[in-house]
Amino acid sequence: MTWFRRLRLGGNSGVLIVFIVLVLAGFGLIRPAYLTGSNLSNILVQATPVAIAAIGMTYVILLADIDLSIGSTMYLSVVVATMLTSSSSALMITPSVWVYPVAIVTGLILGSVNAALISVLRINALIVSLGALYAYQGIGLALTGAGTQLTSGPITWLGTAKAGGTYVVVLLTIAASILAAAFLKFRSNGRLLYAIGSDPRSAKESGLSRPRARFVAFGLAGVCAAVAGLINVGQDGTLDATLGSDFAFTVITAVVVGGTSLFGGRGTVLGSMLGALLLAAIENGLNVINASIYVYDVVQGVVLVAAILFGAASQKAGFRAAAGKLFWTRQTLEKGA
Amino acid sequence: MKIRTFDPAGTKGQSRAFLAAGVLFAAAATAFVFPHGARAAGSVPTIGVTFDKMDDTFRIGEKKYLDIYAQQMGIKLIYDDAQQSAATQSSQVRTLIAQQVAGIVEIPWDTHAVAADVSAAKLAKIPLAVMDQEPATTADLFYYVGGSPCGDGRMAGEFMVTEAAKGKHLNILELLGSLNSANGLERSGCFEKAVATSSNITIVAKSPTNWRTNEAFKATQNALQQHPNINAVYTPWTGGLPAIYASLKAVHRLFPVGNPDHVVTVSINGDQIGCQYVGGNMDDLDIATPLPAMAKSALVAISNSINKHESPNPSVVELPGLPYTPANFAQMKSKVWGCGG
Repeated sequence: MTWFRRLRLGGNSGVLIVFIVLVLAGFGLIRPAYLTGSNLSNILVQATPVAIAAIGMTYVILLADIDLSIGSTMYLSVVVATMLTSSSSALMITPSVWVYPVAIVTGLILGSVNAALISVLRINALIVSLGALYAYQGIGLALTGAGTQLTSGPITWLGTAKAGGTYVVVLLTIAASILAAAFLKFRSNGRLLYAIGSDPRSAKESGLSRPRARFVAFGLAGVCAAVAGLINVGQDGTLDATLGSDFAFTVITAVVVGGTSLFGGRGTVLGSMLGALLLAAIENGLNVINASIYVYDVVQGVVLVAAILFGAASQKAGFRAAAGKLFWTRQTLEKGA
Repeated sequence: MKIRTFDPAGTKGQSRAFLAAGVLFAAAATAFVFPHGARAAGSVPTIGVTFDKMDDTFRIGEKKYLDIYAQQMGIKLIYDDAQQSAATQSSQVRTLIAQQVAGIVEIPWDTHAVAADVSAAKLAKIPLAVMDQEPATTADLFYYVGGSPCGDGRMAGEFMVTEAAKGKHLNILELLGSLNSANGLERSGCFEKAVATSSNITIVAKSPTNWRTNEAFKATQNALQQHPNINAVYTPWTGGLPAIYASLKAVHRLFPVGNPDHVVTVSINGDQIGCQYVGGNMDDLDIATPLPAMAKSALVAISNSINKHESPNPSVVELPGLPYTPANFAQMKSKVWGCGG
């Protein structure tokens, strides 16, 4: 497994790339049309909402926290933004271009509320975000009357626009992930997340501020969820109450498959991007080969567990080799004695 | 993930937890006041309604018509939302029984688990009408009223057969609802049986959507990519329509009914979305579930039981859907609940 480490991609990104290639090749063998440029473009586009949200979730999980509320944050951000920027509340709404900043600010506020509750009141992130999941969703449902609205105008731009033949959302996701990765690597606030996540006690004794890191992580998670919501609504042309349902679990899966440890302190944005891409490639592949509707969940589950085990095995390979060498040395010394 | 030490017995921890819960609750409460009203029973008969979920236009429509007919019949309604949990719904039913409501309307999340609720209500001599989702077993059942998922699916399939008979071979993308929804499975199963009678129809792809628009979008996008010859799409709920049209628009294949390049679409529901697209000459056929009649029938059955001690006969009623198309939209819209009918 040493050749994976030579790729120097961080986490289990090298393993994931190989895994994605295998998935692409497998589905491509069954249905060659799977590998056409336009279908690969579909996969990239379909991966973007999860990938964008996974950036924020990576930050949160690096801190050894979790945010179960991002699906509800996604829904409520877009609901608030469309309500404040649309002139009518009829079935068909046309929000102005202000829908983008309003949604992002709303997402930031909701994420910051979570961070405040966790940091100020010192309550576990799991509990706070679980409560927020229901609270934010409930507020969104109350504001919309749980109704569905068809959307048009600027809000559809992000989901459908192309630049130079490539979907804008794909370019946006790539740019956002590069920025997020660079922030983690080169900014002190970014490195703070790794330091606190890997050893909170030492970080505290060193005077590193966990609340500050939480506001960065949860605030970003809220912003990313809002952007993911805007992408989804832009693509579908509809805002309904199912927006964001179970979204958090898909995003957490992408992040964990991407090699970020749920115990914090370890993981990369690139890994999470690849995790999101893998999920989209599998779902698209099952669609394309017209798989039995009953095998969708089974195949997805099996592939995901396999990816995680494979990744874990590759990461432990170095450790095992070292441990094995130590064991052999000890045996030899004991025999010699 | 590291779980930080949390002392549930400590007053500090408790007060923090309560404070957090209070903040979240206050945030939710400021956004809306749920029109529940007090549960104290007065001279007006009170009927408890437990919804399986409350997150789509269909359930909102059901509540609207329950409210309308309850007002007409002098009945007070109190609502519960089970939030997609059979256990929650079961405990809601037991709470309603303990409150000695005059009757219960249940839209079950689990069509098997509802049997226990039906038995508990029968034991307490409280009429429980099941609505919209047919129970797996009708033992002890007081009353069931719902649409006809199989009949609606068959009607959608027969429409496709009629379209194919015009000479064009139909390559259909079939979107499915949820694999654990009896309504969804019946709509799809009977649709497939109906189209199987035509040699001029091929179902080239079918995808589950879990009743989610975004899933429908991805499924349609992928299917159009792999089968560019798709010229008809069946969706068992109108929520799939915006996704279908967004996907067709992306590949420059969105044309109105009547255009030679139009992709045939057929849907079921009769809500505002179906109404918008049929009226807008985009959807070829929508089959409206007779939602007002369903709501009225459930309340009448309970009311007759309370006032006249009559049991409904028959005890299982399936109401066929109402088909409407762009051609007859002007005449039919007053009868379709989503169009304001």
